[in-house]
Order: sequence, then C-alpha cells, then structure tokens
Amino acid sequence: MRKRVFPSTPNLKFLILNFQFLILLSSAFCQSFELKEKVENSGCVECHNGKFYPEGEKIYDKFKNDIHFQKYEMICTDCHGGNLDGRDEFSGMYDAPDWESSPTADKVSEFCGRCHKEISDNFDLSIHFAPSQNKKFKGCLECHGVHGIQKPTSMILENKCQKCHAEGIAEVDYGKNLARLLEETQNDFATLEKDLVYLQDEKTLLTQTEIDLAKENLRVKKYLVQNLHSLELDLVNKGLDSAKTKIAQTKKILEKAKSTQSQRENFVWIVWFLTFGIVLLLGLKLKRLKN
Amino acid sequence: MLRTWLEERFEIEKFTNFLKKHLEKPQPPNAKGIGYTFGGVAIAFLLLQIFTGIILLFHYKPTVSEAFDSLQKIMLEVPFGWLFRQFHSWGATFIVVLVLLHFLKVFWTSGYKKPREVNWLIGFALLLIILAFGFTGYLLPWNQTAFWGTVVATEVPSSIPFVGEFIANFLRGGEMVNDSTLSRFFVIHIILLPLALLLLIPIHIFLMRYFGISQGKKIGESEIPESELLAKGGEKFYPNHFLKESIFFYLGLALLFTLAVYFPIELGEKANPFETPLGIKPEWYFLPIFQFLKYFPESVGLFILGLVTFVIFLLPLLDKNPEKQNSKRKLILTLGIIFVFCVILLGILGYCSESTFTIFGRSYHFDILGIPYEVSK
Repeated sequence: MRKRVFPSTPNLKFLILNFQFLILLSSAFCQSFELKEKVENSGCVECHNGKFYPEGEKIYDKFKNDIHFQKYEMICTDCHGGNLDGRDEFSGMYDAPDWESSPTADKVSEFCGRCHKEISDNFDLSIHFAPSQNKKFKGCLECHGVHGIQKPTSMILENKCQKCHAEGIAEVDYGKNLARLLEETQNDFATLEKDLVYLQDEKTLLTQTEIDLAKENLRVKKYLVQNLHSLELDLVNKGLDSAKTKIAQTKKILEKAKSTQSQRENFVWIVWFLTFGIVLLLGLKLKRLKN
Repeated sequence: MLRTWLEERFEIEKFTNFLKKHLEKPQPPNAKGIGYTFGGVAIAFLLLQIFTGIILLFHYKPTVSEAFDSLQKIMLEVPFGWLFRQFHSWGATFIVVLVLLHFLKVFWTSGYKKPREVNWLIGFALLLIILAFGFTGYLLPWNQTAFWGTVVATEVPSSIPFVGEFIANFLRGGEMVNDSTLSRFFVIHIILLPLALLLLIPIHIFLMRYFGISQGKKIGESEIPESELLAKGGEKFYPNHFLKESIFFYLGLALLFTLAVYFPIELGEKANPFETPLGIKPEWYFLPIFQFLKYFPESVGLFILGLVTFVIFLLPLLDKNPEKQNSKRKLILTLGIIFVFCVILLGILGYCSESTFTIFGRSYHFDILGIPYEVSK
C-alpha cells in the first residue's frame, strides 16, 4: 500500500514539483524522529526506564539499540499490547484488552515466527522447546535475549548449555566446539555476502556463472541457521560440513576477483602520481613561457 | 636522414612553415580561461574514443546472439579489455559533458554572433552527432536496459503524424527491435557518424581559425587584429594554449581511469525481449527529454522539443541584438539560465522517476512523473 506524502491536484502538480524534493527531505528527516520521540515520551518508558523505579531494569536503554526498534520500528505495544499513551498501570497496561505482561514461549514463538517462520518452526519441533513443562521458559528469548535482541555468541550458548548439561559431558564439549564453529561460519558468511554485493554489481571481475554459483553457495546459510534451531547435533554438524565446503568454494571465487580489483585500485594511485608529475612539468613550462 | 630524403622529394619547408604559422596563431587576451579549453579537450577525448572503439571492434560481434557474450568476453578475457570498454563507456559521458560545456561557453561569450553564425550551426550539428553516437552506442552491448531503452526510444517518433510510423520502422529496420536494429545502429555508430564527424570537425576548426575567437567587444569597437594580439596580451595557440589543454586532458584521463576502476559501468543482464524490466531509463543525457515527454501527449511533446531544438539551432539568426557584452544581453542570458535550470530539473526528475530511494531511513517511490510517495512497510 502506498501513502501519498503530499496531497496535490493535477493543476498544482507541476507547480509544486520543483519544491517537492526539498520538502521530502525535511519531511523524511522529521518522521524518523517522530516515532522515537513518541516512545520516549510514552507512559511505558516513563515507568520502565528507571524514572519512578530507579532500582528497576532500564528496559528502554536496552530496547533502543534493538534492531527491531531501530530498523523495523517495532515498539513496546507490538509485543506487550497495552496503550502507549497510558500514564498509569491501569490505562497503560491492565485495562488494555490485549495486554500481555510476559508473553509465554508459545506466544513468543508465534510472534517471532511471523518474520522468522522456518527458524521458529524448527525450534518448536526441537527437544529443547518445552514450554508446557517449564513455565519460566521464554522460548526464542532464552538465547537471543529480551528487549535487546541479538545474535547469540558462542559464549552465551556455552552458558545456556551449562544451565542444564553438566560441564565435562561429551555432549556439552561437542556443543561448545560446534557453537564456536558456527560463529566462525556465520562470520565467514557475513564477509562473503558483503564481498559478493561489492563484486557482483558489474561484470568486469566475476562472470554470471560465478555470481550464480556464489549466490547459490551462500543460500546454504539459511538452511544452516534453520538446522541450528533444531538443536540436533548430527543435523547441525552435517549442515556445518556442507557449509564449510561451500564457503571454501565461494571464498576462492571471490578472492580471485578481489585481488584483481585490488591490483586495479593500486594502479589508480600510480596513474594519479604520473598525472601529477606530467601536469607539474607542463605547468612549469607554461609558467616559463609566460615569463 | 629522413628529413633530407623527404626534402629531396617534397617541399617540406612550405608545409612546415604553413603548420608553424597556424599553430602559432595567437589567441585573444580574453581567451585564457578554462572555458576555452573545453572544445580542444573534447577533440582529444574523441580521438581516444576512436582508439578504444577500434580495439573493441576487434572482439565485438554485432549479432543478437553474440553481442552480449562478446562484450562479456572483452571484459573478462581480453587483456585490458575491461579498461578499453570502461574508457569507451565513460569516455562518451566525458565528451557529452565537454561538448555541452563548450556549447554553453559559446552562448555565454556571444561566440555565435556575426560573423560566426555558420560555425554555431555546424557546432550544433556536431552536438547532435555526439548525442546520436550515445544513442546508437547504447544498444550495442545488447543488455536488458539497452534493449528496452531502445524499444521505448524508437517508439517515440511513431506518434508524429503521417511520417511517424515510417521513421520508427526505418530506425528499427522493422516493426520490432531485433537483429536488423542492431546491425543498423552498429553501422550508424561506426561508419556514418564518424564520417559526419570527420567532415564537420575540420570545417568547425577551420571556421574557428578563420574568424578567430570572439573578443566580446562593444558595438562600434573593432576586434583586435591578429597581428596585434600578442602585443595586447594574447598568447600563441602553440605552445601556450595547447599546454593548458594538455594539462586538462591528462587530468581528465586520470579521472577516467579512476571512474573505470571504482565506478565501472555495469554490463547487466543479456537482453530478453520477453521480460520487461522495471524503470527503463535512457543514458543520463537523454533523461531530460525522456522526462519532458511524459508531461505531454507524445505528438505535442515532440512538437515542442522540435521547436526548442530549432530555436537553439537558429539562435544566431533569431537573436538580433548585436551586443556581445553580457551586461547588455540580460534577456537572452536569463532565458538561457532558465532553460539550463529546466533541463537539469527534468534530468533529476527523470533519474528519480520509477525508482525507490531511501532517504533518512524511509523509503520513497518516485512515480512516472517524478512525484514521491512514501512506501509503507
């Protein structure tokens, strides 16, 4: 659905055309601040960011760095319901019909699954997803955190495993290694994706076949993340092996292209150096002629 | 030894004296600025364009099935092929910019007024030839943007009453853009247009040398004769002016290389007549015309465009004011500035139209007329 930024009639259209670009820039600038200001002035932040309960957790301080707020403009009411304009616990929370103080694991999974469906489905089927047996279990939020959602590091995963599995048990050690390997693989994928975006735009460095192969290889990341959320070690391990092969293959393709590009970029400096030399000589000659 | 050999057979002295006389012909004192180097630098880049074009011709295959692949081969397999292709693509932009700047400089300095009217007409024809080079060269890579850009562009003349269909079919070599169009554009690009350039550029230069550079004198004040130019602050074309042009050419060459490496022009996807891509756009220098035609019914738009082109072409005959000093030609200068402003504005609107841009974290879609809409998530 598209929303008009500026209302205009056909007669006015041409006249305001010239000014629209400038107005648009300022409007876009203002709107991005509007939402932030709205949340910061809400009853939620007033109470839950330590103003009235200084000893309480500063939730907004964590949430304002969350990618879901920064990039996708999700706010308190998207998960908890309630009323952003409410100034006390009744109008803000308890009296609101869709109020959800602490969503259960089921609800969290359903909510996250709206955007991360395959991942959420895999996790729901895993042995570790057991909301009915443990009321305190927070589902996705267990590893990804609450109000400051992030990708879990290998350290976070290690601690999570050790909550239930004793230290020294082969399964936990294996899990620890796997977590580290996964983190490395994820980083490799991130670097390769960035490189591919940079290199594929024009075709002086990579052929279409190479681009297609690299893209196909990088698609494995999606399945690796999905497999990881099944928390089945065999499955994760298998996925990891396949990912490593694909990464090595993609790296080889991209490294070759990157090295060619880097040689060309170095040559640009030589060209400018030579040009300045020539220009300096010609300039001096011109000056001598004038004198 | 070679000189002696030549002197025994030809009147070398006569030739060298003739060359020396013309190379050392003085420039008037007002022609010392950067603006007076645009024309010369444009010719230097044209020569470079011919050189890179010939290199590309060694490997390019002008058929629908092979054009794209041959260009891909040039960019990936031929030694320095990528550089020649990028120089040729970016070089086209450089030449258009330089020729437009030269054109504006001539307008600003009254260079089109008596006795230089004919040279303005030839210069304008050269500008149209340069644009035609861009138009025909755009199709040659046979990629999606080139193919569909040409489909749209060759459809435009068909709205001209009576002869429109004939012109469109003549341009395409049939009802559709296909092999015949590619062959036609290829021949126009590498034979007809270079021939026209080879004919007109020498005449343009000859007339420029014959009449000399406009000195922007007041009415009643005669121009400084050639024999007194050096004494009154002028300078020789060679080596003084030539050195200045060389400096700008070398700087341009380094810039061209930098753009070729850091901002290479994409080859894109191979043309697919069954899949229309979104937001088909022509080269940047056709964007103002492309956008202008959207605001009017096609035949009306073409009529206005034709009229504007005709007025610019006949400017020396229409502008009866003999004054060459800018303080006394305010009306024509104001009209010129408004025209340039409108062209730039239309170019920006054309660039933005049918595209989505993210500005300060919000996405905006610019519709076909260039009007922005916020895209809700």
